[in-house]
Amino acid sequence: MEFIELLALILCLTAVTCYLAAGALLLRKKTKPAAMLAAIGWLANLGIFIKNWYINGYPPFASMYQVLSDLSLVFLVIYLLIAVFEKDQRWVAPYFCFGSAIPLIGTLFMDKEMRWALVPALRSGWFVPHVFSYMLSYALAAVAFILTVAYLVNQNHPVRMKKAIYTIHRLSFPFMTIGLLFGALWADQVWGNYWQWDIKEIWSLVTGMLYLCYFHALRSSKLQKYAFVFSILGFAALIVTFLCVNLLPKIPGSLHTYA
Amino acid sequence: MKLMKPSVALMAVLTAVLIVCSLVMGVNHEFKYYENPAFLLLVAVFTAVQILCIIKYKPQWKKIGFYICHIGLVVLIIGSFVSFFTVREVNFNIPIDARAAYSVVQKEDGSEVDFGFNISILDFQVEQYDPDYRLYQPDPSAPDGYSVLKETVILNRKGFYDLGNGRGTVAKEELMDQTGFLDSYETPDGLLLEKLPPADRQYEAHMRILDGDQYEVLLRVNEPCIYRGWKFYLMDYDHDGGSYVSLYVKNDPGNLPMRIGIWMLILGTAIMCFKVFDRKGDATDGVH
Repeated sequence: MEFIELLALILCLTAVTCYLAAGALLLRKKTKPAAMLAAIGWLANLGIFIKNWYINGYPPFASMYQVLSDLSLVFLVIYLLIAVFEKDQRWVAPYFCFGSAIPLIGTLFMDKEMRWALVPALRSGWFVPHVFSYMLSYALAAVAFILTVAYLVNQNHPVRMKKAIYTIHRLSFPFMTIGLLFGALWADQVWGNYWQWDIKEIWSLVTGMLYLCYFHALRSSKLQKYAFVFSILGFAALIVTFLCVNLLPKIPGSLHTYA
Repeated sequence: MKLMKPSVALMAVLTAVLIVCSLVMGVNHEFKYYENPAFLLLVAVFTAVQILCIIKYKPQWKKIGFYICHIGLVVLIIGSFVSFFTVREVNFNIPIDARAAYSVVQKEDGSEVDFGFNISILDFQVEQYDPDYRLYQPDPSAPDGYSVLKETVILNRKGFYDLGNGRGTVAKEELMDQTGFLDSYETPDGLLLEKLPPADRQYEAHMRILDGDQYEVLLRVNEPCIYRGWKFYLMDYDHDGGSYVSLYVKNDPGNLPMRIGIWMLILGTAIMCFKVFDRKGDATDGVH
């Protein structure tokens, strides 16, 4: 194994272990050691980000490996913002820690593609805002999903859980919308059309529409109790958009083959 | 009139149609459901429901995000319909030859697109990344005497190709001659490096527009040229002989309303979801 691959593996395992341990300690209300472990994990994660940037020579938001590594990085940053602006939701910290670990665990099984050439279509000012918006939204949506599952499994504190789930979805959705629409504006600049009916685009729209159904269902007295079904379907569609679409045979013909 | 339940039902139906049709299109690439009248009618009904939602509720300043969002969606969809019915567009290859001027281009279906002025491509440049190499080792059992040792050997930031696993490095300069990178190179240890096709970093073309006066513009990926309502996009080039570039050209009256609708959607969604003007929220704020 080459040095850079070994370094990536050590940083990844360190970050994953620290994130998971921090989440477990937070569930046991051991806040200080948890905070320390989360910080160490985040710094190791940041090391992966810096390493990817250095090797490639540009912000690493292009390949799946790079995006998953970056995705893990944003969870705790988002949590800190939530802790400041939505003080009554601070208790969701463990779920953000667990959420941080999941994308990094995924990178352990991936081809690292240590250097990835940026094709001409990706050389645009829209590149980072488009991908970064989606990463923020996916991180928040993942935490909301974990909370939804936790609520369905163990229905303690239903009011607190439902409010947290809604709050996090409400924060995720605008980033998802911005990511989708920034992508459309970029597509017009590079390909001449806002929308190509590309499979990745369609599933991004499907994901957004399912979350829209969730928000609108909450406002109907008859549909409220089914709102969580839309949120679960929305997350399933998110996984399809983010991961499964790339595995489809048609994807080589897709405009998003580099994503 | 209660609109929430039919709105949710309509969105769910649209979503299901998108899922099913995209899967069908994955098998049958000719299935363009988005041009089907039934699909267009569904979208039109969805737009009508949006308009009803907008006029149903009494205007309030704290709901400004709601109005911007939904009006933006209506503007976007109307813009897309305008675009669908009125756009003039064509994909074509144009020789890299200042003498070859085009003002009318024939499409695949036989119809013609007339720009109203002449264009020609004066020159074309492509900038490529330094190539990667594939590493082979001698293998008498292999058909051509070599088997792959490492799929990709890349150039590191210090200017060396690292062969990996302690096999040493090869300097970039050793793999170059006066014409550029060598197609193959044998190391002192008998390993073979074969050049992989280099990836494009960027490509550009100078285009001349002749419209009474003469103008010269630069076309690059992500940098289209706009002239008299026509947008010129550099899409591709002749990778074999470098004799032509591929352009996509369109004149789209629906483009501006779509752009306005998109920005309204972004703004409206942000205002609503980040509760810019409605910090207190409403009765359905996650608690039900």
